[in-house]
Amino acid sequence: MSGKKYIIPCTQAVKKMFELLEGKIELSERDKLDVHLDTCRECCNRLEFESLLRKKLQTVNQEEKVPTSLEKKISGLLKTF
Amino acid sequence: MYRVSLRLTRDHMEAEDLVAQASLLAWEKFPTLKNHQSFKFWVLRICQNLFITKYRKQKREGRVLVESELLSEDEDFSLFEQLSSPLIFYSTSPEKEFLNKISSEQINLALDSLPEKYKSIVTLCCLEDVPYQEAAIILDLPIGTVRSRLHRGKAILQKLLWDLGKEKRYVR
Repeated sequence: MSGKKYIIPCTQAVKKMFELLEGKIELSERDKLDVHLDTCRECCNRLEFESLLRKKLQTVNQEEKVPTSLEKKISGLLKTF
Repeated sequence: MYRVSLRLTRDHMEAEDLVAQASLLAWEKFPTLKNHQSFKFWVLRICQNLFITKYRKQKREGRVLVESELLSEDEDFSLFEQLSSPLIFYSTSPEKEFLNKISSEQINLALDSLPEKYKSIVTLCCLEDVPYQEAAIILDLPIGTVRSRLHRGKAILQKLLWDLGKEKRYVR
């Protein structure tokens, strides 16, 4: 094997960046993505954008607090056992 | 469990009822749970099943878009690619500017407008960080279906956000 690193195309890199964001990328695939990102500014920008979008979605989702009425309802139901 | 229920029902009272019923059922069935480490996913599955059996048939009002209307041409829709197009913004960083402008209300509207089969998967995998394998068990789907629906669901969500951004004239 030569020491030359194989550079994956952008379409593959995009798939791998979603795996990365979801925490499901394998180490060898992460290396391929890193090599691609070293040479592709567009994909670097996309990774940053997708990461920010994911965080924004999760932040909005976390804003929902459990209502106190629900806590009372559940504890009331469990007391019937 | 409350957040997931709220996404599914789109109604605070219905979400409360769903969580209460799921909690009660989980309490009853807890002795049958073999792996206590999977408690979170087990409870979510109970919740999902209750929603399917008791709530799915209810007619819902509001803005429910038909999937084909959303992605008739491109199921690989990418918000980033749209925002990267020339002349969308005067800004040097149109993607970040769009994300700064889009509000929590608009994001909630987009999430709530997702067709149901995508909403469950996007909620579990993107918002709650549930692994694919566990999402497949919770939703009783093959893992390949989870992956493909998640891909499509994310594309629909991005298209909805794009349309909302256009409505508000965040983009030209």
